[in-house]
Amino acid sequence: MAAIVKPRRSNPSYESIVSGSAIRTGTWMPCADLSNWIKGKSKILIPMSSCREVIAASSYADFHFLVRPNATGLRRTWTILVSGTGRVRSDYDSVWHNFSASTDTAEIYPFQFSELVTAPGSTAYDASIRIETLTATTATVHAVALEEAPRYSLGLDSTDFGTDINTEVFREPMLEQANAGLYGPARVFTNPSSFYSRGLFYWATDAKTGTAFSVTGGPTNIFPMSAPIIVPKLYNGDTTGSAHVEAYVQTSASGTSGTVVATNGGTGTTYTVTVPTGSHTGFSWKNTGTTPSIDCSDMTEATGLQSGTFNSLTFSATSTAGTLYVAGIAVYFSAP
Amino acid sequence: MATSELEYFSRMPTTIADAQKPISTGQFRFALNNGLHIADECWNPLVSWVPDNSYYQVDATASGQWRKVITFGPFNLSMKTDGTHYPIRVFIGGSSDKGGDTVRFRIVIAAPGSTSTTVLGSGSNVSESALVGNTPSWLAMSNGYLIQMDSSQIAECQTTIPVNDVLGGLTSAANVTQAMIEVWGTTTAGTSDVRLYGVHAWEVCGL
Repeated sequence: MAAIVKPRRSNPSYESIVSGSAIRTGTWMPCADLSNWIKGKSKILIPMSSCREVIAASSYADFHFLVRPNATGLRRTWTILVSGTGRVRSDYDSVWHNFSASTDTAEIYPFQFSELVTAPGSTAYDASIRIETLTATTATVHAVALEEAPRYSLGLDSTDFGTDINTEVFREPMLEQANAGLYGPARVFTNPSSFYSRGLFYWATDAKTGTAFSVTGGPTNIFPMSAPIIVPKLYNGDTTGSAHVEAYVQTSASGTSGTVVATNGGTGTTYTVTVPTGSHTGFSWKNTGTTPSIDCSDMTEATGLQSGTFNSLTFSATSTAGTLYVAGIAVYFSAP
Repeated sequence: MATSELEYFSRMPTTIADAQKPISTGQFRFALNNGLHIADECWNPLVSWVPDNSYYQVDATASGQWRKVITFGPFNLSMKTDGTHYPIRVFIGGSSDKGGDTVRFRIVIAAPGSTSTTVLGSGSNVSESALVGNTPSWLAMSNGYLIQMDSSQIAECQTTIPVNDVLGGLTSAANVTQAMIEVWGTTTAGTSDVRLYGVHAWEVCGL
């Protein structure tokens, strides 16, 4: 296998691809490198996101995140910014990891652990962790992140879409096999799903009614600040793209319903997560139905933002005839 | 600046990558444009941190005495051909605790263990907010919204991490450029506490 993922992206010269001129190995090889880099690079499923929760001694907190993975991800790394002492596990593999950190927020250093993926795929799932304290210790959770670790090499198959760089070298024939020659990169470059899925904005708190964000009546803003957000630009003329918005919610009684509304500060458009009656038996993910329209990247701007300004989402919650609990917000870009 | 020719993804039949199908020079030039555009859009959102009900505070300092507020990372950065990393677009949401008083924030990207020594510098890996009052908001940055390490700082970030390339297989290692992002704050009047309400730090392809 030689579908190596190099640490740096390559930058093949498109000016070298002109009719009437031979295309040299010096052009084909960077194409294969670029293709492998796109498929094998690090991918962030949850950016470093707020998870503020104080966990008492001999207690625990569960945090839930709805993430959209990528099929190339075989190892995921959690990063937890936590002060105090205790242990943490991902519910994906249920392996406990001990941590002991400073209790001074400014001096704590993020704690990391990894999980091996047993069933790669690209279907959104509930990624959750449990953090426990010991008998005489407390812990405060400040932030959580989840990354699909980069790959050293890719498989020569239709999942990884690796390109064997041995087939790109001088005097080799121009092979037509799927993971070789010019066809390997072409399969990656013609497929819009190569714009990988990634998390954009997350927030979670302990998924218990006593600790989750709660609202009776409302609307009440969940955050004092809006969340800056942008999605990748896909096609010619695009100025916006889609993001998925979901909320992890529960109501206080069978007759209680509610909404979580995301308002795009750039357009004023609102997107509503509807929480129907009968949502009182436990927390579950609810989505907006239609995917919010968000500004996409602008490559003519240094910051990548259209006119130098970002769209931002403001989240508010409302309940009717009872209390609505919100224990998580997930905003992610899903590969086409 | 986009590295692609068209700055967008051009819809193409995926059948051009099938066996026994010819592919023309023109088609492959469009395909390469797509590959370059996809790579330009391979940025990772690193930090999207907005607490739900509060802020992080450091107590009033002597004027100009910087204190660390919070640390994020480590992040495996997306690296360009020339050995630089994708620049990081940063925004800081914050305020002071008193009306009329002002505070400042700095955000820095550096190798693990090097942030505290470079945050006080004037390198391109540091950006500072303009002076702010007691109303929390996303702040203007007095020296730009992009931060990026120089070559010597990037050299400090080189490391290897465990990776897995085969389902159920052995662990191997990959070379990465790994950095931390920190936010620091200081008081200008000497009596105001520094309050941090949000941090945004995302990769961007850059000009």
